[in-house]
Amino acid sequence: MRETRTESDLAEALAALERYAPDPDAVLRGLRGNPLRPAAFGGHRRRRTIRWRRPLIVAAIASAAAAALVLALLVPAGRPAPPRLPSASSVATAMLTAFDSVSGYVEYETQTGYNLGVRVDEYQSWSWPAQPVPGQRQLSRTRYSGTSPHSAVVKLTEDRGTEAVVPPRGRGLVRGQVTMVCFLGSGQTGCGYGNRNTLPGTWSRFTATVPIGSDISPGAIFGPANLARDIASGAWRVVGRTQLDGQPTIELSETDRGDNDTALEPLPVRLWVNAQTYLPVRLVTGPPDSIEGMGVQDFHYLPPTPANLALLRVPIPAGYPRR
Amino acid sequence: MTFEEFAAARLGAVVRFAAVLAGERALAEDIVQEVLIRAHARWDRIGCLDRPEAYVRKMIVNEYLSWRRRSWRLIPAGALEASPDRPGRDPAVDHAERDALLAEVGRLPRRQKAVLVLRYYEALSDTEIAEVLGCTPGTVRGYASRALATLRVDLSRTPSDAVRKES
Repeated sequence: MRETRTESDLAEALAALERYAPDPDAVLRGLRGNPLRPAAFGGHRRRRTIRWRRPLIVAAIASAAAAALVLALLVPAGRPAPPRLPSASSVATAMLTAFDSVSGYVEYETQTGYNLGVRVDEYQSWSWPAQPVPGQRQLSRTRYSGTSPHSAVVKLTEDRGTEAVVPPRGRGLVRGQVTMVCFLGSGQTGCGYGNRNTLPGTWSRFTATVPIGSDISPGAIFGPANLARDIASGAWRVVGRTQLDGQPTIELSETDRGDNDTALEPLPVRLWVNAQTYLPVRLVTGPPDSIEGMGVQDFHYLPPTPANLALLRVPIPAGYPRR
Repeated sequence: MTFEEFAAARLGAVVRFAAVLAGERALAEDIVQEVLIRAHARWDRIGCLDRPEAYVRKMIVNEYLSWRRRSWRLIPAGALEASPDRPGRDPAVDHAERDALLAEVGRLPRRQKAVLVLRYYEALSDTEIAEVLGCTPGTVRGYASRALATLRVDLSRTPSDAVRKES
């Protein structure tokens, strides 16, 4: 069964791992008995681990120089200068205004995940209003396709709609109505949500704790305020202008801080913003062939017409009984 | 703060953090011991920092991420004890869904797991995690985004401090 969880579920589950905490006194005793302990603990110092950072830096500089040389040879001299790029801070300011202008729209987002270059999951999400405020009724719908324990093929698994009244700020979860369709043939034994499991080939409607908003709502991981703040602070740089899906866009890339003792390898994060509306169009995180995975999110903003609002309703497949 | 004062006051929190990160007792113990050995050797500098614990926590993460890449490291003797990858071995945990979730967490790439632990266990903001890990907030969000999509965690989409545990 594939279970949909909340951030609270995750926080509580992680906290449960505290049970594996070793006894601090045993840790200290282990230090005193460790044959590799430093002199201060009565032993000798461990030989430093060899780090191959310097050769890598040299190689990186050499390849960058080679790339620059190739670029210089390929780009003809006297070519007209490209249009001047906007500053990152002006893009950030324009983005915040842009989000306000579509606050009542239907936000439609697709998110596709890749692992080692292979597609592993896909989310299609509709959310209205795009920027919900407390007291408003919010509708959202998510179609999830994923792999199963028995198959690496990505198959449509569930279609879930939620309806709830937006709670006061600071609360992300609220009781709401859930409509769940669990598809046959996904390889899953059911579609879990809260305490309910909907069996494949059936649908259900029930009350549960649901989240509010969408991936680019205020406070979300890639919400406009987060993005705009990071862009304005210089964490992102404007790379250039390009066409994406027929739209003129400004491409931004996150700037690597280049710490020497970084624990995480920099994850390439690229963002394309519509050059006319300043709304995000696409966000790509991670390299395609990495075990850490790559996520591709595409954003669309649909006016709240009856046809677009109808997209928020979960269609019940013919022959699927309610359970 | 002396090393001994640090150990007396903060070692409990450090070992709990290492346990959540490692997901097993023996590995957590090895990581903490390794880090403490190195931290002790550099304590004249670490002890002068405003928050020595934050620095030690960063060392713990680094140690966890690099642990099995080292050729000289033996597999910890206690690695076969009950772990989240073996749901049902620990009688204290009887919630099947939590076990299933922890099993999936245990299968995440280590960098993704480290970000989740800092975000949802240590209750750090993305900016603070970026400081700990020496990367940008976007890198943090990139790792978190993929991990949450893999785990099928529905985001609350409000400042996530609202759902984090109190530190």
